[in-house]
Amino acid sequence: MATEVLLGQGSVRILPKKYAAQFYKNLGVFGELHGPVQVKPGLVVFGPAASFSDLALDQVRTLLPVKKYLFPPKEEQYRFSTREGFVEPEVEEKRTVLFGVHPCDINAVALLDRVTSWKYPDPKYRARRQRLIIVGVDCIPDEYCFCLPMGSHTADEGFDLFLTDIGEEYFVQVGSSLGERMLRESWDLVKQVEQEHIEAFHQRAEERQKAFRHDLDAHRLAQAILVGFSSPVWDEVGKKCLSCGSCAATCPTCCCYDVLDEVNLDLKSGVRIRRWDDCMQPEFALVAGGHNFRAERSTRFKMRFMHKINSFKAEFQRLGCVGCGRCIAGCPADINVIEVFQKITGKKVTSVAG
Amino acid sequence: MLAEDFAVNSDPLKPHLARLVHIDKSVKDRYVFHFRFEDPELNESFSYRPGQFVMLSVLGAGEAPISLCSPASRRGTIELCVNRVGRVTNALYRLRENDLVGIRGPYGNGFPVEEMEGHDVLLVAGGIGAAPIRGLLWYLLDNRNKYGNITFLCGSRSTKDMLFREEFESLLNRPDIRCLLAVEAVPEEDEGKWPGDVGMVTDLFKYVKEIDAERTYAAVCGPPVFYKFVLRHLVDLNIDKDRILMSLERRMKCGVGKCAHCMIGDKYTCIHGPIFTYWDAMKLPEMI
Repeated sequence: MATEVLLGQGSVRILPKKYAAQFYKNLGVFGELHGPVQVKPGLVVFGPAASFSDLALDQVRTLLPVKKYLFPPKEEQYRFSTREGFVEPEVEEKRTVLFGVHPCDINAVALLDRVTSWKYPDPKYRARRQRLIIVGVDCIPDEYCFCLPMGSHTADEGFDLFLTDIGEEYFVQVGSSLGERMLRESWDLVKQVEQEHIEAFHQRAEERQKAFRHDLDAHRLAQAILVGFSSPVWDEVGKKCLSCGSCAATCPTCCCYDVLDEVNLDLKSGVRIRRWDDCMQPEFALVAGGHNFRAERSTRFKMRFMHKINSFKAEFQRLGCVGCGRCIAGCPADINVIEVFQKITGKKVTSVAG
Repeated sequence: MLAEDFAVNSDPLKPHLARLVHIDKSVKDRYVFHFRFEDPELNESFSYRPGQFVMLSVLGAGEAPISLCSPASRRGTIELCVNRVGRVTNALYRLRENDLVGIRGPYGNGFPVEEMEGHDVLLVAGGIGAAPIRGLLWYLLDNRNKYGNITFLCGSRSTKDMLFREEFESLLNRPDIRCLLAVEAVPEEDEGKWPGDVGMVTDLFKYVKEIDAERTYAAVCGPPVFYKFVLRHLVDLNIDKDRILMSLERRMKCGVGKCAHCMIGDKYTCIHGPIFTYWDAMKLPEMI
C-alpha cells in the first residue's frame, strides 16, 4: 500500500479502548515499554511493563517522577586518571517508551529540558532526553493535586503522544514527528476525529477541572515570598521539617546534585560520580572553613521555594512547581505545600486529608 | 534536539588536564599555584574576565571553585591563590610542581570592565580577598588609558599574611595608581621595613576623602565581617549601591547553574555572580 500523504489534517486521532492493548504493543517497536506499575498496595512506580494489562493507569501518582529516566539518582560522570585526563563513560543507546505520564509530569520534563539547556547544556541529560519517548495519559486529580492553579493541568509540549480518556475511546494528540510515526504504526487501530469527540474532550476537561479543590493564586507567589520573607510561616514549617529530603527526591523538577570522586585502588585513577542532592540537607550551603549560609531548617525550606518560585519565574518565565502533590504525599512530617502557599499569600487554608 | 545543542559542542563539565608549574609559598596556607594546560592550544586560547573563577579538580579529592587571581590581560599561566581550608584545597597543598590537576571554566560574570571604562575605580581588598581584586587591578593597569583614577586599598592581619606583598609594595611608587596598604601587626623581623600603615583596612579610608562619587566604581572583596565595615565607608562616600561591586563565595558543585548549591535568593552565584552589586546584596537575603 502506497503511503498516504496527509497535509494540514491536524494532529489528533481517536483510539477505541478495545484496541489500546494492541496499540500499546505496537509502541514496542520504538523502544522498551515502561509505564506506571503497582509493585505493592499503595505503591506505584514507573518501570518496565511489557503489556497494557501491566499498567496501573487509574493511579494518580508514581513514587518517583519521570526525572529518574533522565537524571538517574547516581551516575558516572567521568573516569579520570593522570594519564588520560577526564573521559566520558560509554552511553547506552537504548530507547524507552514511557507510557502513562500525566500532564504535571510532562510539564516538569519540559521544565527540566529548559534547566538543562540553560546557559551551559548538560550533555548527559540531553542524550537521555533524546532517547525517552513520552506517551501522556490524562488523569482525575486527588486531594493532593494542585496542578490546575500551577498551570500544569494540561500539557502543550514535551510529549510525543497524549491520550485523553473520553469514555469508550482515547482522544490522541500528536506532539512530535516521532509521535506521528508511532501513530502510523497503529494506523489501522485509530480513526478520524468527529465533532462528538471534540465535545467529549472538552467535557472531560470540565470534569477534571471540577475535581480540584484548592484555592491558590500562583501568580502572586513570587511576590508573596519576597514580601513575606520574614513571615512566621517559614519558622512554623521549619520546626516540623525533618530535613529528610523526601520532598526533593520525589519532586519532578528538583534536580540539584552533588559530585564526588571515588578513587581506584591504584590511587592514580577513579570515577567522578554525580548523584541527587537536596537543599534540605544541613550541609547543602556549608562552605569549606565551616560557615553555613543556611544552617536553620526554616531558611533551607524557604530557599527551596525561592528557587522553585522566584528563580524559575525569573529565568524560565514559569514556576518550578507543577502541583503533582508528591511532596505532600511523601512528607513524614505532614508538611503540606498547598497550605504553605495559601498561608504565604494570605489565603484561607483548605484542609487536606492527612 | 534543542537549538542550543548545535551551539555548544563541548561538555562544560569536563575538566582539562593542567600541570602545576610553580608554587608561590610567600604566605602560609595561602599559596599561589601556577598552572598551564597540557593542551598547548587550550593554554593559548584560555581567556577570562577579571573576577571569574574556575573549577579546580585535585584528582581523587574532588572539585572546588577558585577565583582567578592572574591578570586576565596576560595569557599563558593561570594563577590561583588557594586558602588551605577544605578537603580539595588540603589535597592541593600535598601536590608538587609538575603534578597534574583538572581545570574547567572560566565561569561567572566577572567584573563589568567595559561598563567601568572612563570611570575612577576604588579597589578594596581584605585578606584572601586580595586574590580576585589583584586580577582586576592588573587588568586595569594593563588597560590604563581606559580608566580614570585608580585607588587600591589593601589590608591584612600582618605583613606575613599580605598576599602579593612585594608586588603591592612596588605599586606604592607607581605614579598612575594610588596604592594604600595596611596591616594590623608588624612582626619583629619586619620592623622598620614596612612602608604601609599599621591598622585596619578601613582606617585607610581617612586618605580617601576627595572622590568623584558620580563617576566612581568600587570593587571590594574580603571576609564577611570586612564587608560590613567597608560597605559603610563606601556608602558614606556616596557611591551608588549599584556601582559597588563585591565578589562572593559559595559552595559549588557544577559552576554552570545546575547543581544549585550556590544559590542566594533567586540568583546563582556561578551565573549571576560571583560579582554582585551592593544593591543585589540589599535585595537578596543571606548574601553576606
